[in-house]
Amino acid sequence: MLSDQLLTQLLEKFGDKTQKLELKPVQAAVLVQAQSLIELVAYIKEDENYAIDYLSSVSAVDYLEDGMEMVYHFSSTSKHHGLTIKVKLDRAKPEIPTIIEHFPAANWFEREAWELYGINIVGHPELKTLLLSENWDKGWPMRRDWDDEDFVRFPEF
Amino acid sequence: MGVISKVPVFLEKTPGGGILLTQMDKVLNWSRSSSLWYLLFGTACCAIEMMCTGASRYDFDRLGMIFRASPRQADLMFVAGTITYKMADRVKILYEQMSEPRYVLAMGGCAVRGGPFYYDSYSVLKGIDLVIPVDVYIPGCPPRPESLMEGCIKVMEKVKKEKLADWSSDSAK
Amino acid sequence: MEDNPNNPTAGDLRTEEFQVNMGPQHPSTHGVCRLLLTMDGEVIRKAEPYIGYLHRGIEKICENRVYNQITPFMDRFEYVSSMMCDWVYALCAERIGEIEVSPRAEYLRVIFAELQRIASHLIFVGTFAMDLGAFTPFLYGLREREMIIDMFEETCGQRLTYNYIRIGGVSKDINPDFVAKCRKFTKYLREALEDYETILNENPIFLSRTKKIAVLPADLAIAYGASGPVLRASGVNWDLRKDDSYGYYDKFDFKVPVGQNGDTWDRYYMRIVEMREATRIIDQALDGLPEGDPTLKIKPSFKLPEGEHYTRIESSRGEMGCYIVSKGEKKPYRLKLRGSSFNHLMVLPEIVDGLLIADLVAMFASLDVIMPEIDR
Repeated sequence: MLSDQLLTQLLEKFGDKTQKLELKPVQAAVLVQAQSLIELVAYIKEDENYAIDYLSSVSAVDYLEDGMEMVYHFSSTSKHHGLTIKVKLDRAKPEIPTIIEHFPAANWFEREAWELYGINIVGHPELKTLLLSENWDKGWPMRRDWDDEDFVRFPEF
Repeated sequence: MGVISKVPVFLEKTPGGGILLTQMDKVLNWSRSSSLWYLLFGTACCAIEMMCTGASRYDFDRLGMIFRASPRQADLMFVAGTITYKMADRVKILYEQMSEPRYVLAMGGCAVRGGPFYYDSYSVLKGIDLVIPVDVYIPGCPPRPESLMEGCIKVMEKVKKEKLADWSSDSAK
Repeated sequence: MEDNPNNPTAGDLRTEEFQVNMGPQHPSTHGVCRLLLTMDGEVIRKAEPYIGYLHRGIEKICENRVYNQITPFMDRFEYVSSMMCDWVYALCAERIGEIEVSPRAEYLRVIFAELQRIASHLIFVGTFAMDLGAFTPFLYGLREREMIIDMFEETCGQRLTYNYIRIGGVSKDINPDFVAKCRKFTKYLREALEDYETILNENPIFLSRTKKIAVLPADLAIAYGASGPVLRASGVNWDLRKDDSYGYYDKFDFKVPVGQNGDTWDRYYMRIVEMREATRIIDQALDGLPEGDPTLKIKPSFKLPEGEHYTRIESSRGEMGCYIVSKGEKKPYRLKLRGSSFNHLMVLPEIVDGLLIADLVAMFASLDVIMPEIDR
């Protein structure tokens, strides 16, 4: 994870657009607004103190009343440190810009989030079906409140 | 099938022709069951067990079974692994491309009834017999190679009970 | 008449690109993957992968199961290296819950993970050679793998999906004769690997089909998130066992092979060297195996405290990650799995221009892609 010094420098540079997150277990995590995501991502890639060049995973989480979140896990192959970036989204109309120009690895991850959660990825060149069947018309299955009449639930014990 | 398919119907009606028919049946069934060629079609974990059964220790070749890559050259299809709704259309196309007589063996829990993905899965087909007719079911997750061999021997026993008269042009299969 | 700009040797013939479907059922796509190839004569210009034929919705299923019930689904996430899938999930849950693992269990985890790595690479060598037309290495590879599977079966009862590495330790202790059998096996494997190298490494047909084919440059590999032997073959020294160490891997001495060219040959040779290094790790772990009880006595359904973590390990194909969000209940709130084959298939369209179909088959086999890791 990023050293405390580098993390505080990053938060000072971006000011109000970012916020430090206290997560358990302890890790370097930053909350950023959707409009400033590309700026932050470009900065940590180009600056040589951070040298973050490896995107491990992009996940979408549905928190029902608390909205939705997109979680990015980054790391650096040269400096051996990592960073978690979270973006909060409004559940009624979730929208986030794409980070493909800086990290092409995000391509299919963003497509999957669009398909399974309904998050609109602004600027993605190819938003089409990835995992579900071509004639799927039953909504966004990974959302927590999704249900369907054919869906058999596991019996509770 | 032409003239050949009319012969059994003709023989059945003549007195004493039934004996000739059963001998023909025996020869054809013996030769067909001793060299069932299977289609390499595995989607998930059961495919690895199918590969192991075809390899060194448990050998399929001693039963006369060789894998073929194309459905046109195969008599037996192992449906090994989970079948999703997206894949079910393609399985049906593959089944229709196999030429008769053809047999299907559902291998593993997922192909029989959906397996561990029966509950809570929005995209798994709960059993392959909802789409194509199945001859032998093999439970297990994944089934041992010995179980798979036993299943193949059951298919061979089923082949040995076939009658030539069923394949005549009057009856459809 | 002017020359056709696309094809200068065509003279004044009209040429056109056409599409060929390498469908979901194909002997060399290693599972259900569909590739739509745009071809210009014999040469491929574009390839578009279509996935989702094995999408079972494991992430949604796991949101509705207690923590102990999820381990069998982790096995089926990547069935060729199930021990490692179990490990990454157990590690993630232990980091969130701050659960201690006994030293004997940590040593056993390393031994079983390295045996699983060898088993997975043996399947790779077998299927890679079979795709190029050689059937014998397939039979050799699976013969050696049967010995590993025998050891696994005596320990945990299953041949493919083990459910052995659980949260807090392993499910049961090894048999008394396991150590002797394992040592005998590692000694045998070091000699058996000579057989593979003799058949394949100097064979002129094998070399001409794999050397300098489908080169993946290092910056493209990092940009697309490739990992494991694919990344190391392109010249990047990145192994999570050393660079982001977990378990007891920092106690063992082993080398990490790094390639030079990033072609198909390098990706194949990395795995042969990794098998040898794995035997060394297993020998060191067997020498230092401590006494104790490797299982954890825990109630069948327990609560993990609130928190979230992304844990990653070096599986036989690359980086395998598990992200769990826990809200303090008996079931995880969100479970996200990351498989290395997802990124490898993403990078395939970038390196496919100019290959023949036979080269594509060799390249696809060398990326060692397993479909359930992609589709989940």
